Amino acid sequence: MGVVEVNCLAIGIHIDGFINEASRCILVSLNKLIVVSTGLFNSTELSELSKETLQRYFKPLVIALMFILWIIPAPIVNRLDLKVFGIPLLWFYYLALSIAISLTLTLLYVKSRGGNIG
Amino acid sequence: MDERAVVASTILFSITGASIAIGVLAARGVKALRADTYIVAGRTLGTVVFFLNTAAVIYSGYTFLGLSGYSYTYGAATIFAWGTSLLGYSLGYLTAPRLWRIARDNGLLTLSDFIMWRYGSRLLTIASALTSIIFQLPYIQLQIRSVAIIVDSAAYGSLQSMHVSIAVFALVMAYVFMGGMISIALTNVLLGAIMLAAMLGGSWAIIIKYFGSLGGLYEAVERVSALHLVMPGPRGDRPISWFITASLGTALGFWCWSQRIQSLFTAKSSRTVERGMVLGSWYYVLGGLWVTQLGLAAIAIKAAVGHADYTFLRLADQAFGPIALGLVASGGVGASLSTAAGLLLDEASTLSKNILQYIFKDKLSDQRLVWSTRAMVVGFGILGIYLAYTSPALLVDLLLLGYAGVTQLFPALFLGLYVDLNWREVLVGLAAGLATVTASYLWNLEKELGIHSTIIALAVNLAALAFLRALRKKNNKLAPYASTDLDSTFIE
Repeated sequence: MGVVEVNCLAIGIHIDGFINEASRCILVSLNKLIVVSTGLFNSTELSELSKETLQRYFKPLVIALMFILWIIPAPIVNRLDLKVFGIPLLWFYYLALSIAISLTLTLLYVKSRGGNIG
Repeated sequence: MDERAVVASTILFSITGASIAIGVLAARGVKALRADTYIVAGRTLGTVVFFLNTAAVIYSGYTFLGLSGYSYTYGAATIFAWGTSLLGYSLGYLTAPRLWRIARDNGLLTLSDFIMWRYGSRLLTIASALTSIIFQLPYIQLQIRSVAIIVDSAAYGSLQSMHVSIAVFALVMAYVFMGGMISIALTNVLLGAIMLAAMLGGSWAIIIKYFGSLGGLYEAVERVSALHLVMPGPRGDRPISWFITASLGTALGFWCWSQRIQSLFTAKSSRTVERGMVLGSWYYVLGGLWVTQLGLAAIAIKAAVGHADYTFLRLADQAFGPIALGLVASGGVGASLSTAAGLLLDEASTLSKNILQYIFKDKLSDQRLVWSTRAMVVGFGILGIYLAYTSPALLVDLLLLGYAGVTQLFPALFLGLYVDLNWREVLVGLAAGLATVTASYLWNLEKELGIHSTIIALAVNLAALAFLRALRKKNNKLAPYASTDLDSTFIE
């Protein structure tokens, strides 16, 4: 679990690998949780499972994360007393998230092309 | 007609005339017309043409005029529309390349073609075709009314705007009739570029002129009407629950519009589709996000906009005069006409290919299919004109009813890509969803429950579908999932 946390917090990570790492962290953590609660797999099997699951569900997971980030924080950011650069938090959050979604789609595309645009 | 009206109208009609000329010239360049050439441009569009064509087909008078009008009326809840597009493109990035590959491998031209291929049921295919046709009809009418609003503004009320709008629409109908998707796509390259320039340039020019920065805009709005900056908005009828369900529901329904699926099928490769999704999201970030702010700008400067849908045009005129008004109006007319053209072709081809073809027991030849589609283009055009004259209503309200309707195709289209559904389950779900849309509209459930009607109906649709599927699994009496083509297509 410690390795997972270090990976999650690593600052100097290459931007193209960031989404990959973040997704891996979530999946590995989820799998560990399942393993701990059920005792079904050993650590080697877990590693194999994670890699395979990640490859299969990487894109859907990232897209699902976008939906979650759009929906869940809405009640939290819907306030007028907090501002960022003079912009109310609600508007700032969704402006930033909109740009982040486009950026993420771009990175997903670049990643699928092996880092080459075109 | 005064001098200002002459300047703005000249710019508007010059650009509109140029785009129609492109459509007509493109049609003349097409010699032997096959059904796939006429309906999906022979699946030959490269990245730039594909992306601008798709953006122009998707973004209509609603984006151009309705967004600023909506934020003027409802304030912060308008942000749901950003989610519609951006989450919609995300969903498209995930699923559209697969849909495209299926369409190419099986010669599919319409959304209802996909339904037929996937479920093998004529009844479900006709139900899906009728759903698309009925709920898209108000959308054609919407575009005609948008053009009338824009002409009215650009001519400062000195022209019979509805008559001019009908005349322009008839010219669009002519080039769609002649060249089909090829004419639409090439015209939309110009229109899509003009729309983006008008949305991005126009919005920021107005914000900078009046407020100096985005922060300045919000500070000014807070002084005049702070309720516009948070939900439930100035009228108190757009709570967080509405925002969440509207974002989710319309994002899931983003690709359920038949004309959008048809525009996907025009790409020359699945990579082109992927690139189109990425570029489309940036198109919205550069255009849609900022045009929304103009409703707030109008509130802040207490502009006399008259009807909410006039907001962008009034602000452009007030800030920079008739030249700016003419340019913005051109973008608005481009947005409406490009969508109307795509809708006309889609409605016509769906009726010809997915309903008439079955009535004639698949005996329509390729050439006859093209000609029946052409005849339907004219038929739907005339129907749209009739509705535009007889059924005036607020732009966004009409769109939202359409959204709730077409989103009921979501299980058939997207769940069907991944889950073993059969046609009976999908059909019952669709019927339940559509009945709920109607009930929601009649009894105003959206306002009563504070939940967007798209989600209410989709929940009923999915519940009915899931119940029947569970029953099938339990009894194992209905036909099991049998589409081996689908399985092989999805193994990557």
